[in-house]
Amino acid sequence: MAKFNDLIKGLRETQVWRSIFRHGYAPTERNQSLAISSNFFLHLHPAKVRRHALKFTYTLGLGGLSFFLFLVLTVTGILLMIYYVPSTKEAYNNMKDLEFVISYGLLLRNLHRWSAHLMVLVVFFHMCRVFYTGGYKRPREFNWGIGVVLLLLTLFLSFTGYLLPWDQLAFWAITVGTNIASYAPILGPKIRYALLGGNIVGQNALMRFYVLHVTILPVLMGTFLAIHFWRIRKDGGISGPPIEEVGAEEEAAPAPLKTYGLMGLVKGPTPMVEKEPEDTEFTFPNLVYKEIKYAMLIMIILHVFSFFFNAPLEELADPEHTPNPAKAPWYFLGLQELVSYSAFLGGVLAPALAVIGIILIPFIDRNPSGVGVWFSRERKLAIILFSIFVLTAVILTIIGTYLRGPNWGWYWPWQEWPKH
Amino acid sequence: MPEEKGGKIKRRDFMLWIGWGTLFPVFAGMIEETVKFIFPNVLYEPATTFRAGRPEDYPSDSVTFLAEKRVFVFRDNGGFRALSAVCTHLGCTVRQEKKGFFCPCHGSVFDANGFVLSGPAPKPLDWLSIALTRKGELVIDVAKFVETGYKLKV
Ligand code: HEM
Ligand code: FES
Repeated sequence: MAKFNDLIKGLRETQVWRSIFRHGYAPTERNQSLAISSNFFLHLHPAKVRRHALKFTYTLGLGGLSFFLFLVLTVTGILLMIYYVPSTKEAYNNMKDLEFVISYGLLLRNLHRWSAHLMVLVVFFHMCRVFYTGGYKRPREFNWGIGVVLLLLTLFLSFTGYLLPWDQLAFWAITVGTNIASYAPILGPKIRYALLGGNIVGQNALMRFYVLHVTILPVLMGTFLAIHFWRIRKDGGISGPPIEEVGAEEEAAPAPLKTYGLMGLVKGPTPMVEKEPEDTEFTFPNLVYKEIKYAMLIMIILHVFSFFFNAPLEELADPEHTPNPAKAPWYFLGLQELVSYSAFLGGVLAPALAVIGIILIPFIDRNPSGVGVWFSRERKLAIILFSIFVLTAVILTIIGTYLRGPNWGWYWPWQEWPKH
Repeated sequence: MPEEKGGKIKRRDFMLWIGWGTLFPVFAGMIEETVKFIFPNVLYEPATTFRAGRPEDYPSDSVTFLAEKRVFVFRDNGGFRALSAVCTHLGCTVRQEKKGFFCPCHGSVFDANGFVLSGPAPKPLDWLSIALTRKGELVIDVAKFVETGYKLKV
């Protein structure tokens, strides 16, 4: 053991090691800061964070989890690309190959599919977390908007991926989905034509969805994620309760522009200088180790789940026979339920208003109080209104998923569907 | 900054206009290129017209579903009618049930003439152009609509 430790110690003194890591390992404050600031990946984080921000019960780690799932999806997705051919003649067979002949093909497909579903859910929960803790309030209005773009990108990525297996589920979900687009005023039919590369869901459509799914949308996602994270830093780290005044003469600090770095150049009080010892902790190892443990746990859960449950694959796409009922992916079933009342109102107007409404929340709700705590009493009205929206979305989704049967008729879970 | 003299345009402004005047057309051009590029000019989709066999192939007073083309062909009193099976709501294939048609996607119900009885479909099912070739074969065009109940007399 002593020998082993010597070996490690010797290794750390080699020129190669020194060229990679420029700081020592001893847990000094200097090294803890350098561990973050001299590391390309970790310097996404500030060197120190407020203790409040580290509490799991504040963020539930949902933003970080969304990002981790995006990484899992990127890695598994790139691996799947090695076998997948975006052709109406081959795509479905590739799915079967993944399932039956390629080592771990099914596991990879399951991981990709379940991570995608989970990501939609987690991003939505993250949005709810930010809302209920008032995290969108000044100065974070813009980042809330970036978040909405991320949510839409997440949904659109899932939707474009849905067509790729080229089975019945895929074909009809995309037929219905793209027809909704054609109800948009004036440009609608053109949008559908451009999206499908023609009038039918065929080879052109598959190729376009593939390109969107594996390049255009992931690149956009990466870009907006970078902006999202950069903005969190520029908005003064993640939200928390206002920092109590320290000096009596201290003027009310404006929106913090910077947490650390450049401190000497910034005029006016920086938020954490005075409170530093009690209020902040080093990111390394406190936050970084937490993130690693969380990521490992999720990875294990995803594997266990993927081991027991297979991603669905129906029969080969058949334009002649619509399955009954034909359902979109679950996260669009609330939308499909609305669409079953009116294609334009439910499929175009309602979602457009919802998106615009959500983006505008920080500018409508100008009440500055209640930031940094869950369900603050000072924000009753805002919380009630948002909860009504969330509840409506959840109820519509549940109806579409569990209570709709053949011919989109109403069936209770205990009622049997008529056989054809 | 020098004063403007004798109504002449300042050099600086002139350059500025050249700058903006170049930038905008360049951007407009790039957008135009990209958008035009996305819209295909030639489609290799199956033809919308197809031969549907000879009139004798259809028994009188019958409804035949041509699944591949998503068309119902009606024959009655010596005439032919063709009804599109594409739901006018969001494009699922309707199926014939009892006296009319049902769409499985969002539950639209149509009567035997394709008129909407209930559900979200905004307009009736389309009646399609149906004609006879010189050789006496039926031709249907799924992209050409005719008025409700149009009948081809044979
Ligand atoms: C791909 C999707 C997304 C990823 C990966 C992501 C990632 C993150 C991360 C890592 C944080 C740090 C705090 C935390 O972990 O909760 C965060 C904060 C934040 N996110 Fe997101 N996010 C996403 C989508 C969204 C959405 C949909 C919204 C809202 C519409 C949003 C709005 C915000 C705001 C306003 C903050 C700052 C919150 C605060 O300071 O309390 N994000 N995001
Ligand atoms: S597609 Fe037929 S009812 Fe919606």
